Amino acid sequence: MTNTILLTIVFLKSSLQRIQSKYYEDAEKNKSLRRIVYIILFAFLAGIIGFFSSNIIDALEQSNQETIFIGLILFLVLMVTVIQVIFSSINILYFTKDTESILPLPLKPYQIILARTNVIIIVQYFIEIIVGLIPLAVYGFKMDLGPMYYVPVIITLILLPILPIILISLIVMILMSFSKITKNRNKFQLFTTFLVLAVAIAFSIAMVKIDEQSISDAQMAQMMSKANSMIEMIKGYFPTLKYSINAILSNDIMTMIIEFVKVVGISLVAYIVYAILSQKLYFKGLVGSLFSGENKKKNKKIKLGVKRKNIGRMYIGKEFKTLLRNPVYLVQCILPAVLLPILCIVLIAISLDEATINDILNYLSQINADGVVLLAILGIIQFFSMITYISITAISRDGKNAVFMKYIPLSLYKQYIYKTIPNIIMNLFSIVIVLAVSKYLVDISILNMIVVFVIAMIMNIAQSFLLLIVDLKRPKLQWNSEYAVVKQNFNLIFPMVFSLISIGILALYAETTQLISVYIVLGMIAAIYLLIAVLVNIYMYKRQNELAGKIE
Amino acid sequence: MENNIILKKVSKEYKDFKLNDISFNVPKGSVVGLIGENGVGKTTTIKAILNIISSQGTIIVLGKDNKKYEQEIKQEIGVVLDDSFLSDYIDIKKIDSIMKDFYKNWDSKKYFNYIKKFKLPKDKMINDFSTGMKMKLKIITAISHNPKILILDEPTSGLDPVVRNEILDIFREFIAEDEERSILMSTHITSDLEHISDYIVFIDNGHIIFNLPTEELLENYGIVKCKKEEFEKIKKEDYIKYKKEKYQYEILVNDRFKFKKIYPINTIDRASIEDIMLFYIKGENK
Amino acid sequence: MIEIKNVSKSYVKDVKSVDSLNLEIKNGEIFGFLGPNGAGKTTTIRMITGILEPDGGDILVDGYSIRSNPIEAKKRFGFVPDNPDIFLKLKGIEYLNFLAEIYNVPIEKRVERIENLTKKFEIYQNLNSTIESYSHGMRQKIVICGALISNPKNWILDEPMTGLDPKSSFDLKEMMREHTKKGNAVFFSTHILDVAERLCDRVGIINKGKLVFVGTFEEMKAKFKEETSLEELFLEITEND
Repeated sequence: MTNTILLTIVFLKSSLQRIQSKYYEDAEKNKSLRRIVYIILFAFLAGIIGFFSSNIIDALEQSNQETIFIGLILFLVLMVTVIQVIFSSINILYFTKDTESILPLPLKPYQIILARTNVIIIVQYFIEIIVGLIPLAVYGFKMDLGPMYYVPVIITLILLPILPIILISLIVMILMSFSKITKNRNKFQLFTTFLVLAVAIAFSIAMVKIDEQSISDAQMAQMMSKANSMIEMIKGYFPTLKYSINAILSNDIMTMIIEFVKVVGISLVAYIVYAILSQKLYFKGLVGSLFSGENKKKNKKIKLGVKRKNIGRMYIGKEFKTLLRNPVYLVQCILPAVLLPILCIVLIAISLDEATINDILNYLSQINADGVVLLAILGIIQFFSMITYISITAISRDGKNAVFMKYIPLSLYKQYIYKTIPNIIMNLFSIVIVLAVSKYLVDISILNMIVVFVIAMIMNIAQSFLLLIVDLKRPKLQWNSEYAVVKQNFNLIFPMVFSLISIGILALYAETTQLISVYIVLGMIAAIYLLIAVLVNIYMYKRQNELAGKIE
Repeated sequence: MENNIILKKVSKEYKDFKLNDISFNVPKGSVVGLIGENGVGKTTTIKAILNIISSQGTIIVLGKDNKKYEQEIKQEIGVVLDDSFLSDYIDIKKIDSIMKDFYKNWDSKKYFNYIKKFKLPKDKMINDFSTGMKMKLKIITAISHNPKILILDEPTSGLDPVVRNEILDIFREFIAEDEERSILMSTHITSDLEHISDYIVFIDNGHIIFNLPTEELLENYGIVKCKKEEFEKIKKEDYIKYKKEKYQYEILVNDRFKFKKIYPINTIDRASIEDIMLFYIKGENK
Repeated sequence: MIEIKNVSKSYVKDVKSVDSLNLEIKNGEIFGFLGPNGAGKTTTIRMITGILEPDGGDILVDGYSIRSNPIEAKKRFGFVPDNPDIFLKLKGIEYLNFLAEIYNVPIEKRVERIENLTKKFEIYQNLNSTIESYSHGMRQKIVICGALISNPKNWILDEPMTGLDPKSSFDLKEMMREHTKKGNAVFFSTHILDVAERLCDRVGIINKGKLVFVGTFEEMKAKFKEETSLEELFLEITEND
């Protein structure tokens, strides 16, 4: 037994630390800062969930149905577990890197399997804290309940995920032993990321729609009781859920113990059956993902593309290929620039109706705010460029390969320009979309559109170059996972900072449009940013070698 | 039982690669080196022995079938594969406490002695070790439970001569301590094999090309350089392979002393393992 | 021809990773650069290729200074770094085309060279797959092909044999010999003394930032007056410092 526990600890450490601090070789520096950030984020999240829970409980209290809440939350935990585990089990069971080094060790197969499964369960616990513990704690607090409530709640949260995780893992193993998914780890992870995105988008659309029809407490309670009857029905299929709820709701210790014994009994039986069955299934599918032979695929005719493109196009092409073909960069760098503007349009389209639009238009024409509108459009464009993380990661994304820039016979200055252009191009998306929407909503003139476009591009260019210089001065080249560059990178603050400064400048100037013609204002803004762009370029040219000093 | 490992007609078929009827032995007290190009079957053979992949044929390790007695066998084998260790985020002491429970014969004292001898840092995580240190640690871990067999896949790749030497010394000590032990290692670095292996098994395209004692290869094999007219006078059974160069022929013979007695050609040199391999890969048949 | 003139580099104050290095790699020779890890080999190579700026001194490639005329100097060498995990998301053919463009390889020659090089190293049929799908040896080969595609006069290779199978190793060595016979220079670092002995015209051994020996193997054996193996010589040279 101790073997299994030891293994579990080893696996856990690997997974958690891999996620956390060991992306960088100099991770120690920011450890405490990062911990503070995590705590703040957690408190924030806890606050929101607590708030919503409180509201729902109040609504239920009105019709004396508050006890439904417990069943509701536990059901939610179950659902979240099921969905989440489907993906994490595949990752943890089949796609961890240390598999090859484990297999030669004198371990019984069930020990390896159970250790891995334990990791899945423990990871689930973390999620349960947010989705389950907080709401239930709020409930306990509001209803002024004592240990007779909290103890069974905690026991439930510990026991509840076991059965679904076992079932899902078994199904996953059966599937994996037949299919060939194991070979396409990248594609699988891309697929799950898209799925999560799609769900997130659907969810936010749903939220917006719900928000529209402000729900009264009575309506809320009605919805909840409908949900509850559905849950009653489903409870029949999940005995552990039923017994757990009974245990929590019971008033005497005997009943509680009996209910829990039932839960423990079922889970234990499942665990043992799992240990036996999985041994036959797991390794069949696992081994398929291990073969790393040379890829001797006979390709179709090799296209030796010899059409001459100029070096600029090829270099920029190379940058884009790296961005598009790498799932992490695709999702973190390219997609936001494309999706966010579209998403916003969709949300606006849903939430605004004809009447509101007309109101806005009337108001605008009344205060004769042409100038402000143009500046506002520029401000919105700035808002969208906050999340274009291409320039700011242009050097860091190359990682240990960044030195390539220095030994090829191509001037560093030109390479800096080629590396910035993708950022400029991606911002173009939001610029075009915002202008198109403005044309539709506010009907600005063609002349104004062109003016705004030109100025937006000048700002775009200036900021993109500035961001590149930031990355050159503070590159993150020692990483083991792309996530370190696009998520855990302090430099990612800079696009936001620059955009906010720009928005600030625009806002300041907005004040002045009452007095001066807006075109003069726009001209001044254009001049400022043009100057910045030119100065930055001169700086990059004169100091090309020093700027590359950190790349080695 | 003279052999620690016996492979009989081991085969494995993948989509575009086949391991074909591999048969060879790893005798007690010997070091067997596996050489061959990338992707031709060295790693596959090792994985088959460890039962990490399934295969046809028979593999007997320490007198037992490797499929039926997998657990028992694994207690007696030390393995060093060419990838990351158990986890990058543990340290030396943690490895000791883990391995103590996995292996019945784990010898903590020996483990820590080696750690001290090679001055490996006790308080750092494996992640922070240099490549050379990681390899030394993997090997030390593999031998600290006193296994009968040590199996290694590319143990010295990318290491500088100083470190490689230290590692080869560890291997020599390992064999010297107990004459029942064997080592099976695959490598590219033929000079290492020349130093330490007793037998060399050359695998190419899923087949065994030769399986011979190192000494024979180094001492008896030779390369004859001669002109076309001289080449045509040589009988086919007296050489193995030949290569046609620009101005001369090069021939691989397996007994240069005998050859010299028969043919009056002066330029017969010793052959290195690499030369011999290249003759088999690039040379032409009779 | 590569001239290293009095080059020094310190990472940490008062500790010189490379100390007043003077070395000339002549045309027509294969020069092997040896030394234990941490001796300054990698630092030296990085300075030659322009990745690292020397604190003092200069390096000339075919007469062009890497400090004052970097682009011209860089056109004149092909570099194979020790880490072949480069541009993993590009297909082999895209990588080669990219380098061909950077080094300005004439169009008529591109197809021919790509075909010749990749067929020789037997990776021609993998050109349409991404480098990510290649094994370590294949990645090494594609990087070598990339460095040679412009047929540069000077080859600088950092541990090129690591991970190469014997046949490709052999082919590369043959190519190195042919290249120097035409009057060009090859500079490479390696750990495998055996290879160095059979291949190099001259060797340089660096230890703790200083060049402790430059010359042919015969000269090395004569100087150290031992009939011992090369490895023992090497260990002695590097341990006696």
